[in-house]
Amino acid sequence: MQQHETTASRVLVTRRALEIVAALLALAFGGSIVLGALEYNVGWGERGPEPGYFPFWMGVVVIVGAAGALLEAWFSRRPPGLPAVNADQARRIAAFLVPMLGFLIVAILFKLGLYVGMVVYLLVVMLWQGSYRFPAAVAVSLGTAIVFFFMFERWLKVPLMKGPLEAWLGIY
Amino acid sequence: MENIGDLVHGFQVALTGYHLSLMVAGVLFGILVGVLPGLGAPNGVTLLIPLTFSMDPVSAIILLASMYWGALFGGSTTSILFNIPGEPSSVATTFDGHPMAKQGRATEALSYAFLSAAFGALFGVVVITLLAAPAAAFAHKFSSPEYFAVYFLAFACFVGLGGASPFKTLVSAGMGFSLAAVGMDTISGSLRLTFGLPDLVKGVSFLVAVIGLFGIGELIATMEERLEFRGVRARVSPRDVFKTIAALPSHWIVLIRSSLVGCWMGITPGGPTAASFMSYGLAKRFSSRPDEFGKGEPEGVIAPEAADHSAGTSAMLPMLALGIPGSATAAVMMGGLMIWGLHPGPMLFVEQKSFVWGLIASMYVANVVAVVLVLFTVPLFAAILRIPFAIIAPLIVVVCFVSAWTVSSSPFDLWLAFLFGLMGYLFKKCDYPIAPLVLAMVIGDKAEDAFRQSMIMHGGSLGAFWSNWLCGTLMTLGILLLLWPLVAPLVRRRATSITDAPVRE
Repeated sequence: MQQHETTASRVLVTRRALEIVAALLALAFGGSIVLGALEYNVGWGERGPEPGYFPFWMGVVVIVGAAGALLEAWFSRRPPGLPAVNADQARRIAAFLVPMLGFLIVAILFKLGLYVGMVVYLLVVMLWQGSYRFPAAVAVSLGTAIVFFFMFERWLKVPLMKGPLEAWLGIY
Repeated sequence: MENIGDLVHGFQVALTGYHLSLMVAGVLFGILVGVLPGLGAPNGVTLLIPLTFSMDPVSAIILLASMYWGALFGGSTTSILFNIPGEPSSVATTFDGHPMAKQGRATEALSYAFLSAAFGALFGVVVITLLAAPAAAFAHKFSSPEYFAVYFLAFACFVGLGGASPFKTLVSAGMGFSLAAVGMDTISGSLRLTFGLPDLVKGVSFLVAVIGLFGIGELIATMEERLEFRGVRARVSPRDVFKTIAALPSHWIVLIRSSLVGCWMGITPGGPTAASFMSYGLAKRFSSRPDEFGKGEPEGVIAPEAADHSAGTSAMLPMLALGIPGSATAAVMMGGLMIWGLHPGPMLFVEQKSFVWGLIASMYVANVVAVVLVLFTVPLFAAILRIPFAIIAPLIVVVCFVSAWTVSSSPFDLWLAFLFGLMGYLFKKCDYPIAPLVLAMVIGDKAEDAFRQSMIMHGGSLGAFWSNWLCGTLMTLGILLLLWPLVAPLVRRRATSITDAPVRE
């Protein structure tokens, strides 16, 4: 898995740092589960455990595991500078994630629906990252939306989220 | 034997035109899912589950199971031709499969892989056929404490034998159980862990979690490494296939040993990935030419493939008989069963005879269908991988989000899938195991119910779990496994100091 691209690209995050971040996030997750469980009784009632009991102790399990993982990361015998993500990789991840977020924002926050979202997303990705020519990108993105439409709405009878555009076109 | 009669009935269920066409469709979709990096078997099953809501449960499970077999085969194809495992469980196949392909023996490698995989799978199905009824009869003795003990043991296995850091396994399992508890509590009716968000009242669906963790997370990890498919061209000629069939029986020891390893790892929650690595290691150790391993040794392909598939099939046994899935994919399928209104466990064998035996019979048929299909369609699926990943990856993203939507038509689930994607990437980067989380999400409610019911039955005393020998043994075994990572280093140190002692004196 780990291909060390012999320092061609600057190391952005070391493995040690990433492990510590992951453990801290898990710690926060466990903490919020424990807090959430405390809304209810976490002890024993007349008929065994109360509703909060199970989530509370599961939160504790996460905290214990996260604390252990944190200690492991801190005292790890791995070479301290071992890279986890370099600048090139971070750029590729960002280039992948940003349009994906855009998809969700267009589809859900702007309430334009999944079909519009996927067309915009595929267009952006193909033109911007794939450097395809405009007609090819339009063909693929519109084609995908049409295939999905017939597959889900007509064949499987599972309606996907639609927005004002579909209403305006009278497609339901 | 009663089993035979049931099996014959099962074949009558499985061998209808409709079910055969579902098998073909499932296998083809599975191969596609297996071939595409970033889409694995658990995720493929997840994508199909919302589409099966309106289907008959037997037809639905046949479709899902066939998809699983297809995905296992697809994963080995890319391992051999492109040196890119389509599935984590086919990583070990790359060690010798790809060198063989590079030497111009691609057909041989593929045929060895598919045929030994089919052998492993059929071996697994035979084991299921023989053990299913006795296992279910045994599980009939189970009441709540025993169920909880078995769940406990399953997770203790992950911690004690999983190979990942025990702390990280605890985090993963604990997160899964916590997420399963979100929403309406089945016993008291209180809304738990919703943090005031109305979207969390219906709970967090394990389907959305799998789409994020396995689908999007995997894609992020794939995009991070600049992925290039520089594959070996494959054209499968029938003559080469038959030559391999003729050569296969001479490797019978490896085949049987690997299938046994696979069955063991599939029934216990070791999973197919661990099974394939373990059996590769064993094949190398016992081989007469261990130096050839890694350079294109056929047994290096046969061993992991047979183990992978026998683990995949036999993972269905604990799922059907006990309601405890042996792999992440089986966990997702079991979640599907519960959505269709079935209760996995021993009662399934009494109440849903045609379901159980229809599934088992379909496993025989579908695996044969899968081998034939995969041999003929290898060039086609290899061609799909020549489409640039810059188009494929966004299309997979679209498929993932669309299927996250189909789970419950909730926009909130799409954000959740995205978050789970980031989490999956972080898990993968830091070697946190994902399978315990998925398993915990699926059986979380059942485990909690079992725990609370045992408490109600025994007046709130933890002694409930040691009230009889069966339950007590399971619990004690579980606790020992949990403590194993703490004890193991001490034992090892002790052992080395004993052997060192005479030298020092």
